[in-house]
Amino acid sequence: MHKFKYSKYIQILMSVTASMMVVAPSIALAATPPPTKAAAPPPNPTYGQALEIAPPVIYLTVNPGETKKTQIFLRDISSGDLIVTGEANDFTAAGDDGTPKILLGDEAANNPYSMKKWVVAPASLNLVPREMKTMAITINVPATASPGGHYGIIRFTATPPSLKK
Amino acid sequence: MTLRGKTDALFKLGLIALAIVYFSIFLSSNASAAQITSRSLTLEQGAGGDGGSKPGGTVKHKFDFTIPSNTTLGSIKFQYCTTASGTCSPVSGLTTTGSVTLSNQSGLTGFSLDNTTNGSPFIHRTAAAPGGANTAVSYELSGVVNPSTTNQTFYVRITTYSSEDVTTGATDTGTVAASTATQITLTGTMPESLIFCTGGAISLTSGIPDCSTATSGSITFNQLFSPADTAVAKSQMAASTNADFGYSITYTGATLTSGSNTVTAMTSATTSVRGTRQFGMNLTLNDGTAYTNAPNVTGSANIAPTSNGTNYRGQALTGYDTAGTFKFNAAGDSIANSANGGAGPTDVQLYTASYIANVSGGQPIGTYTTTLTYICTATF
Repeated sequence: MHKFKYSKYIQILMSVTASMMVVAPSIALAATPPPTKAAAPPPNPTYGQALEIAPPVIYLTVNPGETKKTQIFLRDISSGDLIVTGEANDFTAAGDDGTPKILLGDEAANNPYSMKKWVVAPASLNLVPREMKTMAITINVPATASPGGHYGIIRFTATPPSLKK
Repeated sequence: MTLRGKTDALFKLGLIALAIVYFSIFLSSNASAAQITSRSLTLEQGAGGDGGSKPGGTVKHKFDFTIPSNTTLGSIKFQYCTTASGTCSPVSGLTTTGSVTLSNQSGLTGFSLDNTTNGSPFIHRTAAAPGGANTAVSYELSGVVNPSTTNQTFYVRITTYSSEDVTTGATDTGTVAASTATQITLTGTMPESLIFCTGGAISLTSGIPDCSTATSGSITFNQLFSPADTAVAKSQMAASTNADFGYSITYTGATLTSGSNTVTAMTSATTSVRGTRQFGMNLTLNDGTAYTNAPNVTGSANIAPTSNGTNYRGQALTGYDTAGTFKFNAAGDSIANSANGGAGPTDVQLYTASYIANVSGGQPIGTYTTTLTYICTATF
């Protein structure tokens, strides 16, 4: 009787996420004055969100029950401080051109190639301009993981500290 | 005259004769063996990449000098020694035989290399010809193996000959010195990386989009919403990657919202129409031209630098890439990628997103906002 283990091929894409707030001029504020006791909102930062990540694609071969560690280099390329957080998601192909479609919410529920839950939520990092730090990524492959390819994406969001308060 | 007297006379004559001969030789020596001037030896990088002064490296030795005499020149010898003068001792590890070639010559040309004697190569020409007074020449020997010792100073005695085989007629001489040296090795690593930034504006530094100049991502429309005119706003983003299959940029976000009221998203690419309810975006080619039905939409510049299908591959995607049309998909959409000329790595390029908001006269009052999230991902 032969005993063998399945090897799994997993692919992790990295992405940089940045948000834009588009707002209309304050026509409504003139008609509806804000409450007088409301706390003043934090000032908007004067700089944008800019991040460099390396590598943007990771391929790993893992075995059921194995814990795999890897790392991502993150550099703040903006002109101000940034807090970087990472969030794992699954993805599938958006077409046949290699564009990933990130699976959010219910879309990921029955995804046979899912690995989102295998990824330990990465700790956030504080970066100053030009600083590069390493973010550790830990992947716990379940002993019951199905063989074949699994695909995940880790989205890194860089936020100025003033918008985190 | 006594015998002694005769002897003395002969001796004196002998002395005079010797003196004349010696003087003659001395004059002759001064006239023919002039000093080669403006001489130098440059150790240059070899074809295999060895640094010019690398100990044991296979490199090029380039000799530059000026030949002073206008006498017949048939050959030139380059004798490698451990000292500048005196007995010539061979330089350890030096090889001037085998595959060493005369790879360049100028000034006086037509020479061939004879490399049969290690440490003493010479160049010669089939028919000796006048050297030409004060002629600057240059000869480059390729494939020379440097002395094997680090920081080894060695000397090359250069001698010109009227003969074509460096056997007779030595004319001008000069010595140059050189040394091997400890190599300085620089190593740098370019990782696979992805760069992405957004902001209200991103400036170019020396023509290159510079993410460190990105301004705040909180932007405001240019005017109060009005059914009589189109409100516009702009933001910019820049991206680059050296990943094999390039990048893709998508966005997510709701349409402009104020409480329970919204400005209707332009779900397909259409033109701006004042007095209707529209919110949409465009990613390129709004180059300042005002459009007939949206006179305030003077929008954005094209993608910069311009894509060329090689090192610049950025492109806006269908639905967002036509001047004067706008679209917004609340479920998210792909708006750009680096597939101009085929998906692949690309240098950094700047995109400008133009947003428009049209309202009808009955649009409920309020401050309408949306937060758009742009996601730049390596493709696979």
